[in-house]
Amino acid sequence: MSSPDRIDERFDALVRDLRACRPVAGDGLRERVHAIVEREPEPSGFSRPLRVPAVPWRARRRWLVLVPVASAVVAAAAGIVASGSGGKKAAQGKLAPASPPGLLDTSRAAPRPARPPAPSGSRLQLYAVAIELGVGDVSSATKRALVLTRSLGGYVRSVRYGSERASGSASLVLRVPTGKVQRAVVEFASLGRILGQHVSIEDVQPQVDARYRALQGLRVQAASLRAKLAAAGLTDARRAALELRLTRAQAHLAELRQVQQQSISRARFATVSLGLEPHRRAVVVPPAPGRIGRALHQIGQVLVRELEILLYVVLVGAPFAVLAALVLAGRRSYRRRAERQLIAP
Amino acid sequence: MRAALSRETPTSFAAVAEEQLDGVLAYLVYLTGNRTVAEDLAAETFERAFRRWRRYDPRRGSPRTWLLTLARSTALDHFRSEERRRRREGTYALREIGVDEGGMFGDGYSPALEDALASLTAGEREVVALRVLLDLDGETTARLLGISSTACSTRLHRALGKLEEKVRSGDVLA
Repeated sequence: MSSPDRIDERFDALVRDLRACRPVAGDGLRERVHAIVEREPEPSGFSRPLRVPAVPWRARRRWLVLVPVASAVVAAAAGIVASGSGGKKAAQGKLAPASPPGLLDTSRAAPRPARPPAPSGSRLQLYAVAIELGVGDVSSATKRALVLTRSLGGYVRSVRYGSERASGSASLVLRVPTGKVQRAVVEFASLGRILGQHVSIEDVQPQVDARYRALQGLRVQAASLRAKLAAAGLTDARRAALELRLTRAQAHLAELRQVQQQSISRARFATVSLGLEPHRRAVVVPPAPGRIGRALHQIGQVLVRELEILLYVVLVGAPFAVLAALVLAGRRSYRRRAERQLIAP
Repeated sequence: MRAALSRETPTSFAAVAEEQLDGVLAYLVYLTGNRTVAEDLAAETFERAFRRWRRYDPRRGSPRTWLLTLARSTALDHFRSEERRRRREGTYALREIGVDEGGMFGDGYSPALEDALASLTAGEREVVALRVLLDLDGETTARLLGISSTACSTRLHRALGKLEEKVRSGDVLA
């Protein structure tokens, strides 16, 4: 039987001799050791396990190999995932090059028309709405928009309709009574699918008020000048000067009144810029997820972010880990060689 | 059985020291080839062991293996410092602390066996001490020496072969 624990039988006599007279400690050494043990209170053995768990060197060596290999695998997987997602993005870009981010599906999901903010009833405002609509037939949608505008008491400021291609686009600038602008937006939105909407409100009440005060001042000034001219005993030069001032005040008054009327009439009507485009292929946006869906989506995003961080740490740390492992292995090998040289010259 | 008991039951350091002193000394005598140095190193080993007793984990090995590891580390430190000293003082002082005169390895070995042991390298005597005198198994010895079990077995049999040969030729000459 050949076992590594078994010493060859041919050495039995030698082994017996060696064991028979092995060195034993003399009294001197025994006393020295006793002195060490009894010198101070004995520290309690077995009381505290090692902080480092007992891992055999063989297992640690396995980890030294496994960790860099795992890092390399993760890095490779990350590379594949990254290149895969990049390809997907490129494909999306080819499919829908003209679809800006945030545009809604023009073929399936029907977004609700965004109701614009209500105009103020007590203040004068310049109200402007710009709506981009995707429609099936631009021509009929244009006609329908014009009819709607008139039915609401508004008027058309401009219409541009391109008919070069089979399905051109149209651009309309409409004026709708400000009080009916919300209804108008809802009606226009029903012509097609909203692709974009922009509302602009400018409060002009302070300017109108200021102009009103200026008008009142001019009126008072004109009345005062008329009173002075009616008085008797004016010299010719004085009369001429007063008449000139009155003429100027009246002209300024008329001009200011006209501007005031224009401002008020402009504020009475809202400007609706309507862009009509034929239906086009857009990125399919899935219906808005529910609360659970959103929560899952957020969790997924957090996990992806954590994975990114982990991957970053692994990619950055892996070379250092490999380097450290190599240094440790080298030091260990060097130490062993040095020991061998020491005890077996 | 005894090893298993010692792994499971808490033992006092004094008892361990008493029990393992002869084994540690025998190992160091074989390793250094110098009884005086071996005794100094044995005392230093137990000094170290006493200080580190709190950190001793019985799950990692028996007290004997732990003490022998410490003894080996102490002896290697000693060899290193001697090496440095020799280098510093010049090559003519080489092997100043060589093997003692006859009668140092064991109490009652034949002169032929003493000479044969002295002719072995420290590494060869070390494996003989661990496997033959202290009766450690091959795996524990290999782990202690930092080599594979096969290398340990090879080294042991080569050392014993050389011993056998030297003893035989020594006897013939005597």
